Amino acid sequence: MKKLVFFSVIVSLISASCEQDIPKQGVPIVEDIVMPEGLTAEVAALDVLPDGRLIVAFMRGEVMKYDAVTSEWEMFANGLHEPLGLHVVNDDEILVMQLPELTRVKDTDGDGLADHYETVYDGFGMTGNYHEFTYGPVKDSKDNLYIALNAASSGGGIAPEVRGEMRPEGKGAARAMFSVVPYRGWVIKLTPDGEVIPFASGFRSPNGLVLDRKDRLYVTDNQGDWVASSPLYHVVKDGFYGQPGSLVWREGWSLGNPFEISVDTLDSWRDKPAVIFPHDIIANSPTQPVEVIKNKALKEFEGQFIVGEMNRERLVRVMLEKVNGTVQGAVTPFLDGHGLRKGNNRLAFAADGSLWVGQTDHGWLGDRGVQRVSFDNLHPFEVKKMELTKEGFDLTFTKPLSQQEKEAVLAAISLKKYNYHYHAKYGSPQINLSEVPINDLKIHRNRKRLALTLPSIEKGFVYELTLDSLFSKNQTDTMINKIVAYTVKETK
Amino acid sequence: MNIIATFRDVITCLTRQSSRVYLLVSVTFFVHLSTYAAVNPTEIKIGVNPGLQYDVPRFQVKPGQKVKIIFSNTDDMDHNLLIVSPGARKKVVEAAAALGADGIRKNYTPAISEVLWSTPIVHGAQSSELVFTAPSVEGVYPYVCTLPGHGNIMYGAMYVTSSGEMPPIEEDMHIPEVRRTRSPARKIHHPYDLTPPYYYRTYIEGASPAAIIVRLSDHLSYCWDAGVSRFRFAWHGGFVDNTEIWRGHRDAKAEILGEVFYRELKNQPIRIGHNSDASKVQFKGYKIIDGGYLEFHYKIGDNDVFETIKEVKGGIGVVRIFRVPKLDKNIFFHFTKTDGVEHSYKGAKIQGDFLELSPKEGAEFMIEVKLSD
Repeated sequence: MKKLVFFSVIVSLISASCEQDIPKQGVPIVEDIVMPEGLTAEVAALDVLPDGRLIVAFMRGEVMKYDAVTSEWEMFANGLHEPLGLHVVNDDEILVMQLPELTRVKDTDGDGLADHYETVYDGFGMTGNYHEFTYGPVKDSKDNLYIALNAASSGGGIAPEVRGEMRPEGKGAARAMFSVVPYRGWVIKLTPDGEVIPFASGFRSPNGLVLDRKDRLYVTDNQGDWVASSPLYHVVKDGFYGQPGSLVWREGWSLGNPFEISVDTLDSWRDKPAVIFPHDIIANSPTQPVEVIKNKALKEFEGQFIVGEMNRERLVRVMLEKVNGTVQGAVTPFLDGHGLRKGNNRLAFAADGSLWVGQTDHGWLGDRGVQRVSFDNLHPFEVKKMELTKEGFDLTFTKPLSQQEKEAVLAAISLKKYNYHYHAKYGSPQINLSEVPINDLKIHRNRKRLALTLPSIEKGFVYELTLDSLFSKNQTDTMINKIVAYTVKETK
Repeated sequence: MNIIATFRDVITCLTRQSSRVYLLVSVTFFVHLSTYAAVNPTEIKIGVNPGLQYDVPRFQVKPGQKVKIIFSNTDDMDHNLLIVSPGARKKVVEAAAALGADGIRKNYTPAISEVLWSTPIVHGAQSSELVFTAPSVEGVYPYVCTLPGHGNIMYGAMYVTSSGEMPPIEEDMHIPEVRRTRSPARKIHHPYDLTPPYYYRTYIEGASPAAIIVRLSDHLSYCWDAGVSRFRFAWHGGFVDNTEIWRGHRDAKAEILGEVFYRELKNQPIRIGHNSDASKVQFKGYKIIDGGYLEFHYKIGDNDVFETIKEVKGGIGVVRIFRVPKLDKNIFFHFTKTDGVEHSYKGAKIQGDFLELSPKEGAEFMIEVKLSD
């Protein structure tokens, strides 16, 4: 008897200390950065320098460096034309994507101010339309650069003098984005040898590019004409992603005005999103994705993306996987509120794992300035992964659940599915919406994994999971980000 | 039968039993007369400004007045217009946000009593009309766009008032803050010193969309076109007003605040060699050199050309300084003959409209473009 008591005491002491090893969920800390006097702080791009400082480009043409240790800002360059992307080469040199060109901006005489502005690539067209923004560059492991070109908006016009060849058939009769000068609505690849490769077409407003560690390119786009709900595309060479105007710049194009091609044909040509950000639920205008890499506080999300959102005080998390060779996955809110502003346009991780966020509005819904988000005490209780199986979905959590009984977990989970129209109209409501019953649920012994069995899985549907009243073990944490939406592009 | 008696009986009957009806009929008749003016509805046209604003921040109508609002969505994204009960804007905006995924199907219009009149979602370039009778109860009735996120900044105020009075616009808390201020006084535009020379890459009339405008002094500026690698025009007076450019979300150009005195109208003003075929011209960028001037670098065929433009000393004009390091042919500098403008080389006016230089001369040369005295 004494042995048994002794044994139980040891066991409960061990389990008590194990329970204490799981820290309680914390909150992110959002710091407002004080901006320099006289600056209209519409953040167009930002990145981190090797010396640890932040470098930020603003819509009115300034590029400034920020030292977080001294809270000091320093001019680097000015006069640029809406520099919506930058890539750091070294402490004295950056590549900037501005409306007219990709530019190498260098300080060669060491006075801290850039003095060389070298045109790297300007071989695309410009109509002077206000919506012809430019994005990137992102660089892959072979030193190829990728940039993206916004199409023009029918909310604006075409200047009497354009740059580049004009193809009027790149504009439809109805109000929609159009592409009447070279490569608007395209992603362009620039090789280190200077070769220019028109890479993929069909983009509307591709305000976010990222390359993963396997050199796979991902691009976000914005809900609007031909884009039912904002997507993240996995972009491959010669892919067409849906907005018809840019098709006129395809090599050998001879099919006239692409807006007059049947929607079914265009639909059969297009490469569908890797994941959709359901409109009015997850994000209405997603921006730049950044990958979580060797981040201590966010180690549970290694390899996943954090994406900015313009319309809300929100950052979104994207979890991708490969199903039969196709990249697809799920989205869920990552950070809501906690002092984060709207207009989250540009993101960059600092060396210490905190996240720089730059905001803009520029006449749209948004805000202005720079914030820094620290995740040091986060210890998140979240869905870490959502994976497609033959039977349904597997959910993996960052911490074990407190609920042990199947019925208790089932009561906390609901699932629905829907999809969207592909059409010329601006956006689409959810269609074919239905509740999805969960036929069975298996809880893994470690209580961190659930296997859901559904009656069927249908390609081309968004499966939206809502998790309510789920607690981590010993009820220390509640699930805060309750909605996870998986886009089934391919089934097993 | 006594007709008068019968008639009197009828009147008595009418006035006694139906006196209320009679009273109602006559009162109604008089009220109708006095509201005759309200039969023709007041038309209010409301459009959309960039930056998520209705272009009309507020208007006033009389109680009971017939109103027609013509809402034209002049923007490039969806909007709607809801008129709501006094003080209810935030509640309606929150209720619309709570519609979640149902919002788009329901025109982002919550089914609550505070919503008085509403348009559906209106796409860009479309319009929608609201015809209604203004409430009889005076007050400030907000109108608002309930697309997600819009309602906190995109709204206005319908004053229902018989006096027609509204508070001064600077003090009107029922309209967005950005509409309360008068035109802002000249303010600081950049966190750096705007001592000339300084420049912008921008959209401006008279050049391709890849223009670079440079302010050389407080009275002299020029435009370089990186789309075609050449000097386009010069002006004297002020520099530019970028207000419309910086507003965003709408086509805009930098507005010249001076007078253009020279425009280069020739497509290929600089030629190398006698080959009249257009050589491929490529813009390579620029350096900021001593004094803050821009030295442009472009290629004509295989030749690198470096061009710096500065202000002349004495007079109004620019001096164009060329370097063509590996020049091995004659170089031809063409220009557009312009009344009141003189081109000179080495102090002498250039006759005709071009200058031919040998490879030795053309390796480095300067041309002045000045207003004649």
